[in-house]
Amino acid sequence: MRLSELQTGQKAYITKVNGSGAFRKRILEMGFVRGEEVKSVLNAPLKDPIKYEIMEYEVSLRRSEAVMVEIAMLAEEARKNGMYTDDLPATDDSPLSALADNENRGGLRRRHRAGYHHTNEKNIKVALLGNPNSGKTSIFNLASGAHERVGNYSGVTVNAKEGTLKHNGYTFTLVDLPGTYSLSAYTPEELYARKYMLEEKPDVIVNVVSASALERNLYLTTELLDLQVPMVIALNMYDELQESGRTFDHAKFSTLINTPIVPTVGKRGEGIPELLEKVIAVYLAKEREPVQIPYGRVLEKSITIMERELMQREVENWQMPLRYVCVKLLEGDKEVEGRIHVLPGHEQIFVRRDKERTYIEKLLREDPESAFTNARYGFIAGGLKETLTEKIHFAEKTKLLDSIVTNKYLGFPLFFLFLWIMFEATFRLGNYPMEWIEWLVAALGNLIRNNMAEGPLKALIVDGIVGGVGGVIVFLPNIVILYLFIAFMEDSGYMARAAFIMDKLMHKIGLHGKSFIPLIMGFGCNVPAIMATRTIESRSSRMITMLIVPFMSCSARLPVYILFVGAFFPARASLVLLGLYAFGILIAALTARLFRRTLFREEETPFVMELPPYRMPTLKAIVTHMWDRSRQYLQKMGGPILVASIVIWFLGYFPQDRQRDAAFKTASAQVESQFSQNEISHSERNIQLADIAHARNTAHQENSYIGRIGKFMVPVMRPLGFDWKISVSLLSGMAAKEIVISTMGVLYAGDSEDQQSLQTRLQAETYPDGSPVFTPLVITGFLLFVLIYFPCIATIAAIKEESHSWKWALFSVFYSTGLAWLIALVVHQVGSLLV
Amino acid sequence: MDIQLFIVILIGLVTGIILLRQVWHFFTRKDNSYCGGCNMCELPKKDIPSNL
Repeated sequence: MRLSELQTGQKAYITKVNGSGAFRKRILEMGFVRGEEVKSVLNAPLKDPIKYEIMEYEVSLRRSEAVMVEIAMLAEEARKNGMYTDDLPATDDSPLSALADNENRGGLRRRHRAGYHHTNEKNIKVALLGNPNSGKTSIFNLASGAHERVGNYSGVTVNAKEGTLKHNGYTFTLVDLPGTYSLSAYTPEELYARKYMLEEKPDVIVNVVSASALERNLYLTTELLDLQVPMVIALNMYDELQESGRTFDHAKFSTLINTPIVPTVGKRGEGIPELLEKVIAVYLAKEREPVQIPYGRVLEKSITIMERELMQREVENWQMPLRYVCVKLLEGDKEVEGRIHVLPGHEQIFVRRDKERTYIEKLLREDPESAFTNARYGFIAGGLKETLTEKIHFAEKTKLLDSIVTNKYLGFPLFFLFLWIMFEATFRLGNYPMEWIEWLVAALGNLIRNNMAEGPLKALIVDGIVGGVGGVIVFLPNIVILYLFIAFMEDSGYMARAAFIMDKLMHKIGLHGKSFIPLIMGFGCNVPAIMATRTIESRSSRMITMLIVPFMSCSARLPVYILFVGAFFPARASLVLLGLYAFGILIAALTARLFRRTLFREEETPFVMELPPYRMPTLKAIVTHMWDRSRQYLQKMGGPILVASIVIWFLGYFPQDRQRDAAFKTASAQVESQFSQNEISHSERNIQLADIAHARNTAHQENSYIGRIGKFMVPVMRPLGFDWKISVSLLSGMAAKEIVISTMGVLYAGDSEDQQSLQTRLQAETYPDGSPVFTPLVITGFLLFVLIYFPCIATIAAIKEESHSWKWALFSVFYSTGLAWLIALVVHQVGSLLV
Repeated sequence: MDIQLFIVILIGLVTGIILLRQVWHFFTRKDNSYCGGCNMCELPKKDIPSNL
C-alpha cells in the first residue's frame, strides 16, 4: 500500500521509501524511515498536497511524492477498514525501534580525543546550528541583543548573522546559521551551514533542538556527534514540552550522548545564562569523550573496512574524523566522493566502497543511505525510550485552526479575506495619522515660506526638501500597519499554511508552494524575499521565483498607490489596492509559466515542507518588527529620499533664465498696474497673477535640466498617456519607489503661496488647454507601470547576488520594464477606444 | 555672491559627492544592509554543486 492511499485520519507504518536522489534523502532525514508511524491529517483545499503527522510534527507532501512511500496499515486501522491483519506489523512497537534498542543496549562506545587548542582563551566563537524553525534566531537575538528577523516558518534565516556578547569575563562571538535538517547539503543555505561548520571551525557549537519535535531534531545531533565537534545542546521551546504533560530526563539523555543539554525558552530568554555557562565549560574542557553512534554489526564492519582502506591516505588534512568520512562515503555523499576522486589510488577505494555497499544491501535489504538514516533514528528512539514520557495533553489548537484555514471551502476565501482586511486597515486606519502628518508637513512648509527671504535656499527647502521628503514621510503609518499584518502572518505560522493551500495552484505554473513564501515576503520588501529563495532546492524553481518576486508589490510601492487611490478613487480604495496586488500575482504567475516553458525547462522539485504548530505572536516580537521597519523607513527619508529630492530639485531649478523671468515680472507688473488703475477687479487680478505664475513655472520647468530629460522621454512615454513629469518621476523611481512620490512632490509644486497636500496638487494638475493630466486611464496605466517595472536598484543587486550573474539581473530589468510599458500602452490605447 | 545661492551650491556639492560615493559603492561593495552583514555570504561558485 502507498502513503498517498492513506485516508484522512488513518495511521500506518512506513515499510519502504522508494525514489532516488535528493528527495529521497530529504524525506528519510525528516523521519520517513522504515518502521515509523505516519498519520494522514488533512488534504489541502484542492486535494493536494496532503498534511501528514510523523515524529510529532507535521509535514506536507504532494500525492505524487507520497506514492513513493510504501506503508503497512496498523492492525487496528486495518480492522476498522475490514482488511486482513496477517503480516501486519504489531502496533506496540516499531520493528526498527526494537532493532535499534537491542543495539543501543549494547552500550555506547566512546573514544578518547584531545580537546581543541584555543588561541584566544577569553574569546569564544559559538555557532548556532539546528533544524529550521527551532528558534536559533530567537536565542541569538536575546543573547546578543540583535534584532534579526524571526518567524514561525522554515527558512527565515538564509545567511549567517554575527553578534557579540560578554558573559562572566568571556566575549562570545555568536554566529546564527541558517536552519538545516542534516549536514547533507541540498539547498544553498544548507550548503552554507555545512561549509561554515567544516571550514570556520567554531570553538563550540550550540545545537538548538526544538523540544516540540525532539526525535526529528536530534537527527542533526547524531550527525554532529559523528563529526566529533565540541557541542552544547539547547533544548529550546522547553515550555511546549512541559505543556504537553511530558517529562524528559534530559540529564540522563545528556549522559547517554555525553553532551551537555540545557533547557531554554528562546522567546522569553529562559535558560540563556545557563547555556552560556555550559558553553564556557565545554570550551575550557581539555579533553572530551565524544560518543559514537553505534550503527549495528553490518554497518560497523563496513565502516571498519573503509577506515582501514583510508588510513594510509591523506584524509586527516580534511579536518573531518576518519569515521565520519567513511560513513559519508558509504552513504554516497557527493562532496566526500569528490574529495576521494583526487586521491591517488581512488579507483581501489571506490571498488572497496561499492563492494561494501553491495554487502550492506544484501544483508540489510536496504540501501546504505536508508540503513544509516534508520540506524541514527534507531539510536535516537532508543535514547528517548528511556528518557521521554508519553504526551498527556494533546494540543488541539493547531488541528482546530488548520481544519478551518485549510478547509476545502474556507481556505481560499479566508486567505483573500485576510488580505482584504490587511489593505482595508492599511488604507482606512492609516489615513488618520497620515492626515496628521500631512498637516504637520504643510504647517512646516508654510512656516518657512512665510518667514524666509526669497531665494534659491528657500526654494530648495520648501519645494525640494519639504515637498519631496514630506511627500513620502506621510505614508509611514500605512507602512507600519502593513508590517503589523505581515509580522502576524510570519510569527503565527499562517505563512506556511498559505504556501500549503497554494501549492496546487503553484504546481500549475511550474513551481511549488514553497515558492509562495518568498512571494508573500515580497509584499514587505523584495530584497529579503529574493534572498529567501535560497530555501528552494531546485535551481530552476529558484531562478523563476527570483525573477517573479519583483511583481509582488513591495511596501515601497504602497505610498504611490495610496497617494493616487486616495486622490482619485477614495470610495473603492481597498478594492483597488487589492486589485493591484492581485494583478501583480497574476503577472507573476503568467511569467512563471512562460519561463518554465521557455527558459527553465528542468523538472520541478518535490514539495516537502514542514508545517509548524500555530504560535501566538508575542507583543514584543510584533512591536520589534514594526519598530525595525519604521526605523528603516525613516532612515530612508534621511538618506536616499533626501538625496534624490535635492538632486531632482537642482535639476528642476537650474538653469535660470533671467530674460524669461524678467518677461514674466513685467507681465505681473502690468496686471498690478491695471488693478491699481481700477481697470480690473480684485478677483480678476488674482486669476491673472495665478495664470502668469503657472505659466512661469511651466516654462521654467520645461526648460530646466529635468524638463529636458523628461522631454527626451516623451516620445516613448506619450503613447501611454504620460506627460514629461510622470516620465521623470518613473525614471527617478528606479532608485527606490518612494522617490516617485518625492519627485512628484518637487515637480508638482502647486500654489506658491500655500503648501497643499500632494494629493490636492495632483488633482489640480492640468495641461495648458485645461484638460486634466490625470485621467482614470492615465492613473490606471501609471499604477500598473509602477507595479510591474523593476522595484529598485537594491532588488536588482540582490538578484545579481543570488543568481551569481549580472545577466539575470539585467534580464529582470529589461523584462519587467518592457512588460510594464506594454501593459500601460494597452491600457491607454485600448481604453481610449472604449471610453 | 548671494548667501542663499552660496549655501545651495554647498549643499549641491555635498549631495553630488554622496551620490557619486553611492554609485561607486554600488559597483564595488556588497550591500549587506538587508541581512545584518558578515563576511560569510560568498559561496565560491566552484563549491556549489551543479544541481543547486
